[in-house]
Amino acid sequence: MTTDLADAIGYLPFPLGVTATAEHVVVALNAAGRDLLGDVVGRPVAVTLPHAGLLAALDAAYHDARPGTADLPVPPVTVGCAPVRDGVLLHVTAAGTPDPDRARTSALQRLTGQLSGAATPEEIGRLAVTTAAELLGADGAGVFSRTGATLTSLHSTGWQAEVTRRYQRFPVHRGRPLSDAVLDGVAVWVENAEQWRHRYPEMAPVGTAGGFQATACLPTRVEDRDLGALVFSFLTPRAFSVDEREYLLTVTALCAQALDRSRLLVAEQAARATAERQLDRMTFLARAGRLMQAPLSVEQRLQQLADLTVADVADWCAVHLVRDDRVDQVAVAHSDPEKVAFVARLQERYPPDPEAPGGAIQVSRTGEPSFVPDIPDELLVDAAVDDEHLALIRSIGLRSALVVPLLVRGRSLGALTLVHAESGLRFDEVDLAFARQLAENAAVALDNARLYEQQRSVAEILQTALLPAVLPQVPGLALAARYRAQSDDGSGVHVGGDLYDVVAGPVPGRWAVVMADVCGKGPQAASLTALIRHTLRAEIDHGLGPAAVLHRLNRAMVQATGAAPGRFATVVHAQLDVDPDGTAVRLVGAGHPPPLVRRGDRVEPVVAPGTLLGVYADVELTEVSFRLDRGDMMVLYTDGVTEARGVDGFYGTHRLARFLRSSPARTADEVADGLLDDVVTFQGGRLRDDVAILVVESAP
Amino acid sequence: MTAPAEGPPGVAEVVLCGELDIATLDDAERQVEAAAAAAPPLLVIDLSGLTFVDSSGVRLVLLADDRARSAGRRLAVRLGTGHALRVFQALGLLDKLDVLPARPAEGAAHRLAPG
Repeated sequence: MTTDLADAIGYLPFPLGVTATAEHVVVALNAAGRDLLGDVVGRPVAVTLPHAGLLAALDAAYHDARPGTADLPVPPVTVGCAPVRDGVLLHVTAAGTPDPDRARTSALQRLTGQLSGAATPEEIGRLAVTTAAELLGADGAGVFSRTGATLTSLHSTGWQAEVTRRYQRFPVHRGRPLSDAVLDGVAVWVENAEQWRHRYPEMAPVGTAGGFQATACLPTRVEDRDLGALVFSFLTPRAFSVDEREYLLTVTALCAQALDRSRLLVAEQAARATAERQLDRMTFLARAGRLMQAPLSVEQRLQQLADLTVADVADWCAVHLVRDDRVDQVAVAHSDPEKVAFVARLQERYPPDPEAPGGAIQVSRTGEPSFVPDIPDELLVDAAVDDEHLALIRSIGLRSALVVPLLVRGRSLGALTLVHAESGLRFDEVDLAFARQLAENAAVALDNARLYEQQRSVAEILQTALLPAVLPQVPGLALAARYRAQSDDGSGVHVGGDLYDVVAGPVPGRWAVVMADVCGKGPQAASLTALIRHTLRAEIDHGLGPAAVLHRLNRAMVQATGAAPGRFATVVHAQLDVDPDGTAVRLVGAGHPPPLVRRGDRVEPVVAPGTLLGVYADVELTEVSFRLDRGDMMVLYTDGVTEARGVDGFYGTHRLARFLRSSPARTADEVADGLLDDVVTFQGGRLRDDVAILVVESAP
Repeated sequence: MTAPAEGPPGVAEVVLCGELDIATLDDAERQVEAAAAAAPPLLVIDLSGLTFVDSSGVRLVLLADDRARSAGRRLAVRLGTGHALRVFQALGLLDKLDVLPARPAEGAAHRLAPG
């Protein structure tokens, strides 16, 4: 603090100095001070001015914060010692100086000490006005800070209430004494009421209100920094002698120094607060970003975003989405669930007006943000449908609101609404920029999710084109099929290669079932899957036996996959002849996992070895024949079942057999559902591969 | 890393172990391609150390076999007695591929890494 003081005294015409440390080293001495004391800067007073009385006064000021004075014989001066932070302020007067000057100097010293301890502009303003006015014998005073073309009162005293109120905040206006002083950087002296009326007729009623006569308007400037002005008013006319002017200017210079120091301090604190806020916001955006990537539905993600927002950024948060020609509120959050419920009831009773300008629905449609830093009561009155509605929305206590569009590639997907209510906080431009950033990030994430959903639905449509929409009703058989695509692994959505089908044969009572698995995924796998389905249907219709059908299929595949060698499929195909006692089965396998047959509580695999299809021109296939009695069940599946992996290793045929033996599921549908559940649960809900299941039960 | 085992001239051998599926396929493909780059008359892929192989792994072998045949060279596999043997047997491939017995001594094996 002594550094600030050292700077400050440099501008003052009175002999002043500053010492620091218990050694009383002189750290500053202004020009007037040097004239009296000589060049003593940088050395301890004990060395340069070895005088017991002076050292005692310095000790008292430094250690005990007690001001005092000492008269020195050589040089013939009086030195006042005033405690200031971390040091002592010296004021020096030559012997024989008149008393009024001495009093002024000591008052000035007091003010300097007080100002050096004040931190905020308001505090300094109060000191400048009260202490200075007292020192100067002023009856009214005010200190104004300047921001651009606006002057704002920091503190004032002694003026009429109406004047004080009217000049809290006002524009700089050339031709008025205070403004002229600020604009020109030159003091304006008005000595009496007559001068007011003559020089400033427009302002005279204000300047002389309450019987004031003289006024001094003194600009506060430090170097080129224009801080505002001090005004001192007197109830008696004053001639403002040269001495008096100099004294007023000195007081003003002291105040200006202190104001400048506090202004810098405040600016620095604000910069630090802004930086910290910026850091908080970046952290928040990162958290929100991670959240938007979570494997949740769009609504869940937006609700989580809203929840996160009300924990950190606003009292209320809502998200709206454009859906076709509607705009739906899909998430709303407040830290108090009671309030959320209250607003939900309110909106049910009084649905929001879609035409309300600046409302979430309008912002969603137009893509133009709306920002109401201070929500005036008139806005609520305008929005209210009736008195009760008004009372209810007033009870929410809305203070500040902003609504920003969820913009992506120039298109608005919806809107993010942030509201401050009971916290009493107010959004500013920084909040608006932040909210826009948050909304934009969310919109991009939403857009990605939307593209992904589209891709997924295309894949699902394609997949269902490869699978029968419904299984045929087959007399004497109960059929059930289940298909579940693999969980998304982040690499995108692909059409799987699993296929099952049930086809009527060329003779009554004859049916064919197929289960196949094409290796790989994507368009090539899908086209091969389609080829398999159509070829099988055609060949079955020709009345060929199962092994012959697969030989034909193999040839068709080898021809088709010539361009993509190594693209193969495993297939199991059975021909079913239903009779009154059950079903005769002819089954052939081509590298496919063996079907299981359940007879009562016995479960056994149907082993029909064979070569996979699509790679070799000739394949070895063996056909097996067996019967399914009434109530017997055959289960066909893909390796998505047996290669399902859980914490205990692979699901495997042994678990599949155990499930069929021990499951309480009886009907084909129950078995298919139970098995799918069991496999999905086994993998902890995440499917590594597509799962297809086809259950054939001979009529019970 | 290629892991050519000790053997007669004209034979390159790749020894894969661990799991061969979509996650490790790229690594396995690099191993096989590196071994095939010198166009050895006989390329041996040793799968006997695999604890898992899925259809993409099977396809890798079928493609290597197809390339070798087209180039008039030979590809053989070692399947051991574990998982790989069961998979290739179930797919009906034991008669289609050149299957060699397990190597007598354990050499340098490439443990597959997800890529």
